[in-house]
Parts: sequence; C-alpha cells; structure tokens
Amino acid sequence: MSRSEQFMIENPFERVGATDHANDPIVRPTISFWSDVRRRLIANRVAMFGLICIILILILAIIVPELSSYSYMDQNLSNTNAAPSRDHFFGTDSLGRDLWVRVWVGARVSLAVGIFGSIIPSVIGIVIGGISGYFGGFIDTIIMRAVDIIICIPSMIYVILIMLVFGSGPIPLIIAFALTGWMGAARDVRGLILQLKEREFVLASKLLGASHLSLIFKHLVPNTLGIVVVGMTMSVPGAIFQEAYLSFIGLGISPPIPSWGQLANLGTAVFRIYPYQLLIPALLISITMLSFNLFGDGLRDALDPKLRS
Amino acid sequence: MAEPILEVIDLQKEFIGSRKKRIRAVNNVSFTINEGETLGVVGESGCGKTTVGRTIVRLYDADGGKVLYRGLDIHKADRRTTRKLAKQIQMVFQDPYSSLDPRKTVLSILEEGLKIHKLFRTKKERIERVYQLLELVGLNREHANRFPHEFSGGQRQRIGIARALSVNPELIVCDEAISALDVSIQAQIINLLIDLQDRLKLTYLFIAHDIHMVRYISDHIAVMYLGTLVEKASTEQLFKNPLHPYTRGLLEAIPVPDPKHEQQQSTLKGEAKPLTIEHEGCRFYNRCPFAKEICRDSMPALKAHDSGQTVACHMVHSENW
Repeated sequence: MSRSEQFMIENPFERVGATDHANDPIVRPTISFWSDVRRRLIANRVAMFGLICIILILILAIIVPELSSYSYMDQNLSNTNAAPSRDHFFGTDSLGRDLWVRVWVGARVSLAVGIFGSIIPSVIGIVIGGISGYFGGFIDTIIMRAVDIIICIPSMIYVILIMLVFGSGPIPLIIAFALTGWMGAARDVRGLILQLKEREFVLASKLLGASHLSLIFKHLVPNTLGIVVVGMTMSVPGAIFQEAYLSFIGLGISPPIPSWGQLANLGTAVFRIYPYQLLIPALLISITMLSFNLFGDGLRDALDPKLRS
Repeated sequence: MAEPILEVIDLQKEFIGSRKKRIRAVNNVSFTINEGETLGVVGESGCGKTTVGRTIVRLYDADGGKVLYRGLDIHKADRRTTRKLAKQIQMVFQDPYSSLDPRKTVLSILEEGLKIHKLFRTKKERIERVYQLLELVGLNREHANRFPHEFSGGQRQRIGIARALSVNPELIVCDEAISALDVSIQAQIINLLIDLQDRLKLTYLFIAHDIHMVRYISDHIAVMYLGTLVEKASTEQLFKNPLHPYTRGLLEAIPVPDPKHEQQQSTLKGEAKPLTIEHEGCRFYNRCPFAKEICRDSMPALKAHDSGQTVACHMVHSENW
C-alpha cells in the first residue's frame, strides 16, 4: 500500500471556494421556456401565415354578423339565389338569406365546436393520462385497457348515438367530441409522465413533501404541456371537419343556425346552378384546416427544434 | 460523545429485474452516522449505494431491516411524522441538469418546500428566505428570477443544495452530488458542503464512486460491493490500512498525478456481476485474488477486526492473514 499512502500524505486539495464569476449577475434578459418558443415560432413564416389566417377568420367571424345590416335568418323571397354583388358579397341562398353573414355566423359555430371540441377532450385526456402515468401499476393497467377498448369502437358510432340522445346543436356536439376524443391525449400524456416521473426534480419535490396532486399538476403536466398543445392544435381541424361532416349529413347543427358543414349541405342541393353556394363554405373549411395544420406544425418545431429534420 | 442520528440496521431492498428475476440490490447493510459527522459510502456502479440513499429518504420502502432516525423507525412512521421527517432528512441529487424543474424559476423551486411546510406566513418572508438561501450557497439574490437553464452545472448544484437546505434539515443525503461536475467545480462544491456543515451543524451521508473525493469530506467511510457492506472504518484508518481485498483494489486504482509513476496492473479484474438471490458465498468471490473454498460457500459477516475497523472477509479474519 505504499503507493496510495505516499500519495495520501499531503492533502491533495487546495481551497478554491466559490469563484467570483459564479456570483456574477446574469445580464441577458430572462428567457422562459415559452418566450423561447414564441421567438422560434415568430421566425417561422409558414406558421405565422397560418396564424394570421386563423386570426383573420376569427376577427371576421366576430365582427361581420354584428356590423352587417342583414341577419343570418332574415329571408327575402324576392331576392333568392342572387349572385355575389355589392349588396350581398357572397350572394343569397334559396330563401334569399345573405350568405356573407351566414358564412361568418357559421364560422362562429364551426370554430367554437372545433376549438372547444379539441380543448375539452385534451383537458380530460391530461387529467386521466396524468393520473394513470403517475400512479402506475394497477390503476394504470385498468385505465389503459379501458382506453384500448374505447379506442377500438369507431367514434362515429357513438358520436351519432350521443347526437341522437342529446339532440343536435353546438353543445351536444362538443360533449360528443369530449367523450370520444380524450384517449389520444391520455395516451400521450401518460407516456410522457412515465418518462418524467423518475426525473430527479420530481423526486426532489416528493422529498420536500409535495402531495400527489401537486406533483402531477404542478411538475409533471406543465412539462408535458408543449406536446399536448401541439396535439390540441392539430386536432382542431379534425374537430372542424367532423362537425362539417356531421352537419353535412344532417346530424350536427340543425337549421336555422348555420355552420360551414350545413351551408355546404344546402349548397350541394343547388350546386349545378349556383356552384358558389357550395364552394365558398367548402373553401373556408379547407383554408381553416390548412391554417391550423400549418400553425400546429410550426408550433411543434418551435417547441422542440430537434424534431425538425 | 456525539449521538447517533441515523442507524441503519440490516437494510434489505429487492427489485424485480427482467424475467421476474429478483435482484437483491441491498443486502443486510448496517451502519450508524453520528450527529455532525459525515459517512462516505463508496462502491462501483450498481453496488446499491444509491438504493441505500433513496431508502433512507423514503423514496423506496425497505424490504427488510430498519432505518432509525433518532431512534424512530422511518418506514413505520405515520403520516404526520413522515411530514416532519421530510423536513429533517433531505437529499442532494446527482444530475444537476435533471434535478431542477426546467419550467420553474429558481425562486419557485426554492420556495416549494417553504410553502409545503408552511414555514413562513407571508410571501415576502418566503422570498427573503430564498434570498438568504441563495447567498448561503454562494449565489446572488438576482439569480432568483432566473430559470435553471441559465446556470452552469456547478451553479445548478448549488441551487440543488439550497433546495435541500430550505426546510432546515439535520441530515442530508448527497447522492453522487459531485460526480457529474468538473473536477475544479467538484472541489468548490465539496468546500461548500464542508462550510455548510460547520455553520448549520449538518450531518451528511455522502455517496460517491470516487473514493478520492469521499476521503476529503468523510469522517468514516463504508465500502459497498454488490449490495453488501464489505468494510467500514474511519477515513484515516481506511487509507492507512485497508483490509478488505476490494478496498485495496479500489485504493490501488486511484490515479497518481505523477508522470513518472508507472500505473500497476490493478489486482481487481473483471467486473461486478449482479448476483441472484440464491448466491450464498462471498459476493466478491469471483474477483478476489485470495478466494478460498469457504468464500464460495458462505457469506462472510461484518466483524470487528483487531485494528478497530469492521470488515466482511473470511480471509482477513482468519488466523494466518
């Protein structure tokens, strides 16, 4: 042992203490996670284009019905199926109702169903997935098998059933989406939380005595939020499309309240003679869906720059 | 004479490995730490030192044995006592990058424990305490509103230490608290820990794989190998007269900062393989240069040696050693 002994005789350490620079104030402005995301997002032109389209559509949906002299249900039977003109930007339908106003009232309904129809199921998914991932074991097995089973049933079947029970309208539609759409978010969140819960910052909070609820909702879920928000943005076009589809086949929103799907439905009846009555709502559905998809893509890249290839 | 603050008696912990194989990560480990002292636990990766640390802070339940904190069995404590214990036993983690929540500011990270235990009534008092903590660990109060990613590894580790200190603990388990840092930063953090020990009368359980660093901070050292304690001694004794063949191997493996020095082949060969629960003999048997038949067939017990240290080895305790 002479070797280690000889080496150990003198204390090999020298007192260094905290160097001055460890104590230096940090000069650059504080950048939180979300402000960093915002910066990357703004730099992404395509995503910004999508965002601007969404904002434009939202603004029009809010102000047009308020400012216009027509209402979405005023009929004028002496001026039916008019072509687009100065008085009626998008023309009138077979009952003489102004399509410009009806399209933007429809936008309110479609966007509300689209946005709430993706936020509410995501929130349900976060809660269920968070609990499942955090507690693990038996609870996790039960919840995840239930998800597997529910996801197997074609969602259209019970959307239609729910619509039949609750009647048609925006709120039953959102309820139907909430009951059928939470499984994807629950799976995503569970997977992320399984990864995160062994991280040392979670253990540290546990040691400090944090309760289960505060661990799940103050530490774990905020760290999964990025991916959930992307999922939510990407599911908005799906919800809008589903609403349009259901209204188109006559199940979603019932007249006289317009929605884009319903306007398209009315438009098909006269498609050969007045094609614009179908094309305008169809085009708006497409533009909105595209905008949300572009924005969602950009958001995903902004949240995790490593994903961009 | 210092009072024992923590007594670990025959601690056992098992994990279920792949194909349902039971792996005994910690096997009958016993040690005592006196108030105000530091016990270093060393051993190579996978020897169970982190498991011991995590069992002591109740992140894991023990599968056998007891952990007594001031005479109180911490795994049998009721909820209220557990809450109190959370204030008394804290931990500093290994990885300064994953041990701080990336979404939270330093202020809210340090404030959490104060809020949970309702240590201060007003927000203003809490913030004052956070500033005080930051200055205690050598940071600046302006750092409070920053996010973890704005700090270097050493600074992050200081924040981790401040978090552990926030609830005024008596015992801190440092789980490889310096292993992820540069050598010069390691020295800074060690010095900080020693300073804090003097000022706040702390007791440390210092877990590390670098026996060299442990030496500087510890009063006593326990050497672990594959879940068992093989040798326990005061730091001085252990370096002067290591008894267990594994300890000797560890000490020989310390690199010497002298270019003329020729590194000898280490007496330690192969690597530690986790053993299943059925293994009966000495766990070091397959790598030990002195192994005899008895080593294969029965597990040596940890016994006091004439020199004052305790060691678990048939050969060391045999007459013709």
